[in-house]
Amino acid sequence: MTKSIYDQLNASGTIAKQRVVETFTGDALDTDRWSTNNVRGTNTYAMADEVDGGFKITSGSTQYDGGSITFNNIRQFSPTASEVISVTKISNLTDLSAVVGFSDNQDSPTFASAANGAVMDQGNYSAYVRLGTSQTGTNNNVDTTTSRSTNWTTSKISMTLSSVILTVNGLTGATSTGNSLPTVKLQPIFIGFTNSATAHSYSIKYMECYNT
Amino acid sequence: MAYKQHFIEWFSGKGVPSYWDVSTNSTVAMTDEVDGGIKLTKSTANGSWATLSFSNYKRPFSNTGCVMHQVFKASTTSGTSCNTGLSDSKGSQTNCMLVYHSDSIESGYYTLTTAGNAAVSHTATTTAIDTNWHHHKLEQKSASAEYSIEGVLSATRDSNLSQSKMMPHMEAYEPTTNTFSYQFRFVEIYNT
Repeated sequence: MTKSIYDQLNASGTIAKQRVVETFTGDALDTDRWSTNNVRGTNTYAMADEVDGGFKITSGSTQYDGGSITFNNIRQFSPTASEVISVTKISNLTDLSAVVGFSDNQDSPTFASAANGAVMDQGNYSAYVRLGTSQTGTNNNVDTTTSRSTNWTTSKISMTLSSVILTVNGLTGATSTGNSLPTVKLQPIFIGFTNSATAHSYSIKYMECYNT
Repeated sequence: MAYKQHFIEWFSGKGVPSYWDVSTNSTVAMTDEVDGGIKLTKSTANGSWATLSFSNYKRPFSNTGCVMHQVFKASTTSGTSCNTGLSDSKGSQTNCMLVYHSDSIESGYYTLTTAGNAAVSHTATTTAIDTNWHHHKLEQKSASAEYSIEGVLSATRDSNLSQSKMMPHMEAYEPTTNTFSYQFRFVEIYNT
């Protein structure tokens, strides 16, 4: 058996593309890699002292307070040939939103104006987990048939030239096509914000991004 | 079989991880480019440099059994020089196993360079240097050093091999006023 991770991930004679694997384990977020961003209000960011707890963002207590973690606009991932896999959860179903995936800025690409990206959205504006894509502010939101829940959720977003496909817990959930597909370089993003005057938390314990 | 030292770096994220020693009077920064990794840029200052190695001279890799995978590219093939691989030091090349991408070494061919026993030696491949991304593999064995490009064995050396433990060493440097850059998006090193 080869000892090389390179040989396990790449066919012989091929050249590795950009990749990152983050397991959100340790005493603090790796701030060489990630930036924390108070998109609205003041929010807190901390590793959870819980079994399988990962990393947690807790919003402020003013409506729409929310924060994200990103690569501080270092955007190394392709809008047309990449994938992002995440394991995340939300703390309740009533009045919050959390999205995870790719964005070209520090905010949710389906919330910020003129943004680009593709995300899994667990916002309370739908009963279902949904896929959101955005090209310079032109949005498309597609519901899956998976109900929102407070359980850990595994999502995979596959970016191609003609579509973005969201898989939720291993099941193909939603596909977006057309003029909402992002066309610019992207970075990973995890963002949560409250839709009421109550603070909420959002957790992530795994994220892997790679160009294909 | 006992686990041996193993290191992986994807150069993804907002900054350079703190376990790297950044030695430069030019620029070392993550790139805001798809598949861009990290960029080492030599400025126009005469003899300037941009170097990555391990902080505090931590050298966990064996001079008699280790492998290094690298994916890198250059900005130019003219007036340029980069040496990248494993070395026992940041500046000199007393004990090392390196890839050279330079138009002033071995007539501009990708070159395997080793140093040990107070001598530095170069062995050119038959692959001319270019500005494309490539997968470079260096393997230090007990009595030889091997260099493969995209999985094809391209150069072997069996003399003047490193006599010392080593750390990664990636350097854009030339004693000129030329400016050029090198980008890396993957490094993996392990003892065998």
